[in-house]
Amino acid sequence: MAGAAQYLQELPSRGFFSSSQQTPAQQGGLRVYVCDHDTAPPEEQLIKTDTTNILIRYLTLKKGRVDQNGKEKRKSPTEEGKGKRQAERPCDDKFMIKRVNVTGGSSGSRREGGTSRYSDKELQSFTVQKIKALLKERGQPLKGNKDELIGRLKRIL
Amino acid sequence: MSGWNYVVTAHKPTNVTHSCVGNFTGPQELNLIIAKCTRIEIHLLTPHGLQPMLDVPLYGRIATLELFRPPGESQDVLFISTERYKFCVLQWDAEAGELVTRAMGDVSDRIGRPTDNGQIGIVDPDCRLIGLHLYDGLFKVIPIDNKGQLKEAFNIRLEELQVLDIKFLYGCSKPTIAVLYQDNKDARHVKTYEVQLKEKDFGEGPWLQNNLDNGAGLLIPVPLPLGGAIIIGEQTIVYYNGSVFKAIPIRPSITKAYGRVDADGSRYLLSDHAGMLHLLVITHDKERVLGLKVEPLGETSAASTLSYLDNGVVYVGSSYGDSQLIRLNSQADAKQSYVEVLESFVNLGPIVDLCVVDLERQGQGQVVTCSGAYKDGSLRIVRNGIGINEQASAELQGIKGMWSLRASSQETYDTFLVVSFISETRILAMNADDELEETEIDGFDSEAQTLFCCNAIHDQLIQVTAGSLKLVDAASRRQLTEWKAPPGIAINVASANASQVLLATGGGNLVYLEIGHETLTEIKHIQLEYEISCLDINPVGDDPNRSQLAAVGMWTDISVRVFSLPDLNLITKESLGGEIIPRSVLFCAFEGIPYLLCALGDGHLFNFVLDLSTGQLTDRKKISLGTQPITLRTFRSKNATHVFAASDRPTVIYSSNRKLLYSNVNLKEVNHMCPFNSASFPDSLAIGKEGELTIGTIDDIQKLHIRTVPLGEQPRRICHQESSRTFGLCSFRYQNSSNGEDMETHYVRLIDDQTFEIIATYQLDTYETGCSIITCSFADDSNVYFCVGTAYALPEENEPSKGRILVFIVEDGKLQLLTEKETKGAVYSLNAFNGKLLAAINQKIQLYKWTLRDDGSRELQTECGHHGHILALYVQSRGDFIVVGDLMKSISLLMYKPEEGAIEERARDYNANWMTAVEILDDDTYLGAENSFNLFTVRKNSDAATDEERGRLEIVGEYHLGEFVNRFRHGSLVMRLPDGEASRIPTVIFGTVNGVIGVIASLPQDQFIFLLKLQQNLVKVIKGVGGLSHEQWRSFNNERKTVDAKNFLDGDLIESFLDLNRNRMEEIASNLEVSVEELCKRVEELTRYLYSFYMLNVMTRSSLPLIHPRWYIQGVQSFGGHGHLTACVVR
Repeated sequence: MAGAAQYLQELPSRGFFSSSQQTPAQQGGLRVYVCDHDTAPPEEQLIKTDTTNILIRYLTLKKGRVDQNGKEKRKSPTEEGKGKRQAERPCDDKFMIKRVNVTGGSSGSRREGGTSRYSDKELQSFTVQKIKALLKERGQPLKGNKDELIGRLKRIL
Repeated sequence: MSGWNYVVTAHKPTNVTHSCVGNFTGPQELNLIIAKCTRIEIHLLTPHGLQPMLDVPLYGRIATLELFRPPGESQDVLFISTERYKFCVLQWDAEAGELVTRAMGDVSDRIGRPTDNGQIGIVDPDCRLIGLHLYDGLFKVIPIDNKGQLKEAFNIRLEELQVLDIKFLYGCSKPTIAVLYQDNKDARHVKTYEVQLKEKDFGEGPWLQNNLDNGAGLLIPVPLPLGGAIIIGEQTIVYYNGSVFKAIPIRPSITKAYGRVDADGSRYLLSDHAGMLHLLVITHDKERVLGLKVEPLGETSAASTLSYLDNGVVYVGSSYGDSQLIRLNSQADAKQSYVEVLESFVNLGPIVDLCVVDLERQGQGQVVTCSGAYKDGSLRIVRNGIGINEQASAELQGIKGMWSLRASSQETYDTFLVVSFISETRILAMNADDELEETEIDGFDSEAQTLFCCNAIHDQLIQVTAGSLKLVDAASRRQLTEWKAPPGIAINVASANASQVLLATGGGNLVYLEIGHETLTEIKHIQLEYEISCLDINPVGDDPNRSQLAAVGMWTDISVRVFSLPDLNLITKESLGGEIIPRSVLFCAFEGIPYLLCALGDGHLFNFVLDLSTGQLTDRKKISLGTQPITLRTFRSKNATHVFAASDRPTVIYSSNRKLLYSNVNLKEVNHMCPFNSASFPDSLAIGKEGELTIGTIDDIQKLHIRTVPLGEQPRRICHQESSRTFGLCSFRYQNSSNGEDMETHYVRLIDDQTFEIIATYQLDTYETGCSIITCSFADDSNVYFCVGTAYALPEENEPSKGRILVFIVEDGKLQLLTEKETKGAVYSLNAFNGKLLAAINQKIQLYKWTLRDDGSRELQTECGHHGHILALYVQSRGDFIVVGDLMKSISLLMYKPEEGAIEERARDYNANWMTAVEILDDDTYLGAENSFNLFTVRKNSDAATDEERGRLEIVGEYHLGEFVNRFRHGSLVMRLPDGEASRIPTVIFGTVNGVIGVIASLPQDQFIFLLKLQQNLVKVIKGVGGLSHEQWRSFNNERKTVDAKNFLDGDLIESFLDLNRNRMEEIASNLEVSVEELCKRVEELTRYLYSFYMLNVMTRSSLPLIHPRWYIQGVQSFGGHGHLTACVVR
């Protein structure tokens, strides 16, 4: 038992139970609480449980996510660079920017070997920003939708 | 008809299930919050100790209790969830002094299997959500937003079905839970999950740990900077945080509770099943955990919760024994313990059995409970009475009398306490430091025993000793004059008031003197035919300094006489009868009515109403207060006169509504008492006990007093035998067997009902368990026996297939086994039944008769039986009727047919209630308690038209008590007297697992209807804390059905009427069309009648023969007051 003493030093104290005279708690001092006031919670804090079945909820949430992703894909060519989306999905944007920079940086070295390596599929998978960056390097106009931009890029390659 | 029942708690739950510490009542105030099943207690921590604040009743059984701090707030809020799937978040409003409901809701699901291992409710340390595990395979999340508002809850599917513990981990970017669970191969693992609030799903957690200790049962999350969790097993303790893994072996033990000591989580307290307290230390370098250490600290009650308070003080909440406040000392004491118990809080739970006895034979019931579990097992004696709060005490041997004196007549406070011994008198006085110090009064004779002393007129003091009467000047303390007894004749007894002295000297001489200014004048001297045993001239008339009457108690003819003063003419002579001399007489006035009290040497007390003008005595009454000589003294408390009767059962006599009331005092034996109203101890009493002088104040209310008899083993069944004045007890303790395992050893113990010492023991066989014990006698045999029913609980059997019935007789304080009878199962219940023995053995009810063998010995012989139960656990009988409470088939009614020698089923309740206790309320109505904490009553339908209906017990009343009842017993905690008026309300006392002692009273219908109306009105005014509903709480509820309560009244709610403020009271009274006073009185009287007070007024005819004191009692008036309730009852 000798070991316990060293670990019983410096027990946390905030100043309670410090008096040398401890008065025993008088059980009579415990007042019985009579609750004659209204105890209903604020209306919006009457908590209920979401009753949708877990599987259905999962499916709806998943569907919602898929829809959102799909929308994203469809919208991205037109709404690219719009602040709203950026604010909403900062991570994705960061990722996008990063990729732009990476490809931008590497494109210089790749130019030597020719950009003809880009297949149609690859081009299609590039973001508008990247395609624009490639066009800009070649002094091409940057107007039009993604398909037009890809067509322009293909033509000059 | 006992269908209308009123249920009230006489002793609140004391089983502590949860506790927590936080800033609840204010940002700077640190609170300890304790949950006692259906109540919450809030205490405040102060430098001087714990200061109790509030006791909050809750309409639910608390399943979980947590304090948390919503973001940006300075005060903690309290999260509570109840076993019936309600939760609330409470906040303290210091200004209004109210508990505000911040949020509440219902977290039940329509489908789902309730968890086996109890409900879990936890709050994320970063306060992002509340997690609940209520049903197997589901984890419920109540999100909390950044303003601290709760959001709509949702369930997440939890793959682990057998969850043992869930805790939130500290320092995770997403809220993360660690789940300790058991797989279907019984192996235990910990897994972590991230709670994704948006996706409403779990994500993969940071770590998992498979294949832990097989007994792992407790998770402790460790705060930052260390993080991770400790997993407490039965043989190992493991720390893991994903990267660091530390494990240490421990001595095999089951850890039941933990408490964190340091905020950074480097030290924890652990308490195991045997009440050993350990310190778990995490050694670390502020970032990484280096190792674990466990050090034993000492023994406490077996804890269910541990809360480190401050400065080394820890609250140990216990379900099995008394809860404690302990201090951890840095140095071990002589017993190598670092634990010092500062305070103990009484816990009666779990009450496994109880019996109601009248140990003092005063007609007042006391409850003796089998309380506590394992090593904390004890007997508790619960009785009603007045308490003395001791304020100071000193050792003093051989006190023969005590009087208090004022320093002068102008003083309001007493200064001197004159204590008389066999051959000396000592005078104590309060000194400047408020301490009692010995002093001297020069004029007093300190070398002789004082017979009487008091303050007299003209600022004088008098002292009477055997030799003389001295008159002393109070200011100079010098003797002024002296009256000497004639030579050779000693003064035996004396009494005096401010201006008169009455002395009795040997030979029946009675001398009357008057006190003048520095003079003592002998006015009259008469001689009586016998010796005088006691006398009194306490003034009760208009003049506080003079009495017109003198009371004298006599030897030989055992009479009390009243003489006129000053001429000493005999006015009245009242013969007391019997052979016991009067030892103390006293004139006193209660509520303006003068009485003469006369106490005998055998603990009996007479009281008479005194006619002051004529001196006639009327309304003679006699009562037994104890068994030893009584000395009577008056004292004043709360501006009313009380009389203290000092004896082996000290009693306070007072009056309410012109009725004399007698109340027990929680002291064992008092020889002398005198009021001592000093400046530092105002309104106090000086009490002379054996070898001790105590100064204390007296409670103004009666309450339950509890005496504890620790057994060190667990008591299971108890019964009282009046003839041998003993208790029979079945108990067991754990003992180390030869192979090192703990073995249960069961005993039948014989316990003295006065000293509570074990006087004899009979050890049962290996594996044999005492299941039932009764005291009974048989037909054609005048002896009284203890019958014990046992079972052989063999480890390989699910249900015992063998048991015994043992018949003992008590001879010379020994238990003699007379005969035994082997049975084919466990003897769950025994009843004395028409001179025979009725046993419930597994699924069978069996009747045994007591037969005489040829050799003159006795044996139990099977007479008849009845099959058809799952397990007949609880049996009660009345006449030829037998009421059986089955394990799972509710109540059935059997009938014994003596002519045919058969037991037949008459009727049954077809509900599937799992019974925990049954009792017979009256011939037709039976009370049952079942294991979902409900009460119900059923009624026999003997008038029904068809056999089918007659065979059905009709449900009359249903009620959710919220307590697990283990035993019903007929009886009362208040003074009940036999052959009283028809006005008595039958009551049943029950005891529960949480330590509740409650009373169920069967009310007359009109009173029930009135109180029901009151209850309906109260529900509108008194709201459930946390928004919980009273109606839902009291609705009968089990797995199979939920129905509204009926034919039961919630006495606790009805009594809280008395605590309402005046406006509320008036509101309710006007709804009921009665006055507030009337309503208060009715509620108060019911309370007093049922459990908290006893009142009586006893009348005897003087011609009654001297037999057992109870039978002196003739007429009983149950109430003080003018008997509104009595009137109701009589009607």
